[in-house]
Amino acid sequence: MISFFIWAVSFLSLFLAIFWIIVLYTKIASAPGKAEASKKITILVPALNEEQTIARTITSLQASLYKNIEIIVINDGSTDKTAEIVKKFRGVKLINNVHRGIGKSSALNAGLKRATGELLAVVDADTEISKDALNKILPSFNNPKVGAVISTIKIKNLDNFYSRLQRIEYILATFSRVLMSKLDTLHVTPGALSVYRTSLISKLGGFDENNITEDLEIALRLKYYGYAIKIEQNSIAYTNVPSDFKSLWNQRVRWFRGFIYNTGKYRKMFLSKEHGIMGRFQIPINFFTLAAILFSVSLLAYGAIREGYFILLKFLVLRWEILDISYYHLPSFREAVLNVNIGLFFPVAITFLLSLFILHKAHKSINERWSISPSLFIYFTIYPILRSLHWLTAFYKESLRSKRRW
Amino acid sequence: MVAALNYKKLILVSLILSFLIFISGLLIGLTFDELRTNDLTIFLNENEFQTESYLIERQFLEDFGQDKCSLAQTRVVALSDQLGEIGRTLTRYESKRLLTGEKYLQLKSKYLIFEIKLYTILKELNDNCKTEDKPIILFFYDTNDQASIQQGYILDSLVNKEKATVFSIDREFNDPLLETVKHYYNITKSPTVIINFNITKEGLTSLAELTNQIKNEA
Repeated sequence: MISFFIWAVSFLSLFLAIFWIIVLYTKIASAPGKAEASKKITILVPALNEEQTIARTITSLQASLYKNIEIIVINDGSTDKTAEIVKKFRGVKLINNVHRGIGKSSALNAGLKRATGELLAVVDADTEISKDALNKILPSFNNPKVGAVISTIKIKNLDNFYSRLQRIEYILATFSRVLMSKLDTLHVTPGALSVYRTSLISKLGGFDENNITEDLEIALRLKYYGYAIKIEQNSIAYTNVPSDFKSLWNQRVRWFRGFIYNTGKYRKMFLSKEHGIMGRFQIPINFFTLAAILFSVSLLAYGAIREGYFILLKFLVLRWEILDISYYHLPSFREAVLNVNIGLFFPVAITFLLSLFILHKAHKSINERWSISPSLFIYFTIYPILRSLHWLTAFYKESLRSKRRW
Repeated sequence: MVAALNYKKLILVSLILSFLIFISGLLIGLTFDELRTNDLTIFLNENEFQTESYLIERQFLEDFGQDKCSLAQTRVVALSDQLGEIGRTLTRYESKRLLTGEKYLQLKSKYLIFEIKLYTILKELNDNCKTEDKPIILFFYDTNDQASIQQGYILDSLVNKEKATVFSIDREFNDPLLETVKHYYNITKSPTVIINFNITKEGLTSLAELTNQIKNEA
C-alpha cells in the first residue's frame, strides 16, 4: 500500500513539474496594453501598532509615479503612535476604526466605505512599493474580467536566517503565481500589494470579517464568481516577514488555517465544471500537493525514526563499539548504484532536476540572484518538515474549532 | 474573456511525457534487477566452483595419502569469507526490497544450500583435523524480530572480536534442507544460536555469555 502511494506521489510530482514548465514556455495571445491614466486608485493601509514602519510605507506610496491616488490609513485600534505619525502626512486620510480588535477585514471594510477610487489597492502597513508599482499594475485592468491584480513581493528585512529562508519561498511563490496567472487559476491576493475593482468588491459584500486570511477569501470569492486574478511581475512590493521562530509559526498556522477554512467555504468549486480549470485542476492540485507534502514528510519521519530505533538498538548492544569503523562496509561504486531502486529513483531524480530548473527560472524572472547556500539546503530539507508541522497544527486547531485570531 | 491556455492539451502532453519518463525508469530498473541477479548468480557460481574444487583437492590428498588438513585452513576461510559477502549482499537487497519474487527465492535457496554445505565441511574438519579455535556459529533468526536483530548485532561483535564464522539462517524460509537442519537441532524459536556444532542457546544470548561459552569449550 505504501509502495503504491510512493509511486503515485512520485508520478504526480513529476507530472506537475513537467506541466508547469510547459505552462512557462507556452505563449498566450493577449497582452494587457497601456493603462488608462484616468483610473483613480484608493490605497487602503490597515494599521495596528505600526509606528515603526508606517511612515516609510506612506512615503513610498506618496512617491509613486502614478499620481491619481487617494491614501487612506485605517488605524485599527493602535495603542502606539501610529495615528500621530499618520496625521503628520499631508493628503493622507486617517480613519480610526471603531471596531477595534476584530481584525484586518473590518479595517479594510471601513476603508472601502470611504473609498472614492475606481480601483482599490490594499497595502500592508509594513510594506513599501516601488515607484512604478501602480503604473505596472493598471494595464491588466483593461480586461473587464480581471477582478484583481497582484504584485511581486520581495523581502525588506533580509537580515536573519528566517527571512533568508522565506526569501526562497517568496521567490517560488511569485513564480508559481505567474504560472497560475497564465493558466488563469491564480487564487490569492496578498496583503502586501493587491489592487481590486472597488465596485466589484463592494458588490461582492466587501472583505469577510470572520476570516483570518481575508486575502485568500476575497481571491477565492472572485474566482467563485468567475473573475480573473493576474500578477504583474514588474510591480514590486517590499515587505517585512517574520524574523523569529514564534512569529513565523503563528503566521503560517494562521495562513494554513485560513486555507483549510476557505477551501471548505468554497468547496463547491472542487471538481466543478462551471469553474473550469480552477475547479477541475487547480483546486484538486492544491489538495494533492498538500497531501503529497504531508505524506512525504511522514514517510521520511517514519524512516528516520525507524533508522534511529535500529541505531539505538545497536547502541544498546554494542555501546561505543558502534563507532568502530570495521563494522561498516564502504560500498564500491557498482555496489552503491545497485543498492538504489532505480525504477523509483529515476523519475524522482528527473523531478528534482526539473525543480532546480524551476528554482533557477523563478530567481531569473524577478532578477534575483541565486546560489547554493545553507538557507537553500535547509529550505529543501528541514523547512518541509517545519511546514508539515504548521499544517498539522492548523488541521488540529481547525478540527477543534479553536478560536481564529488574527 | 481572459485569454487562457488550452489546459486539457497541456495536461495530456504532460501526462504523456511523465509516462515516458516513468516507463524509462521502470525499464532501467528492470535492467538493474537483472544486474543484481546476475551479480549474485556469478558470486554463487564462483563459490560453488571453489567449494567443488576444494572438495576434489581434499579427496585427492586423502586418496594419495597426503595431509588434507593443512589445505583446509586457507581454502575454507576464503570460501567462508566469500559466502559471507554474498549473504550481506542478499540481506541488503532484501531489506531494501530490491530483489523480490521467484528469482530472489531461488538465489536465497541456493545461498542456504551453500551455507549448510560449508557448515558441514567445517564440521567434518572440526571432527578430523586439528583446526584453529575460531568459533563457528549457526544463527537462526526471524526477519522483523527485534531479538533476532539484536542477536545479529551481538554476533557482528563476536565476528569482530573473536573472528567467529557465523552462518545466518532465516528460520521461516521454506526449504526442505532447512527443515532437516531445524529438526536436527530442534529449532523452535528465534533467535537461536548453535555454538561450535553442539551447544544450543535459545533466545537472546548476550556477548558475554557467548564469549564465556566459547572459552569454556576451548
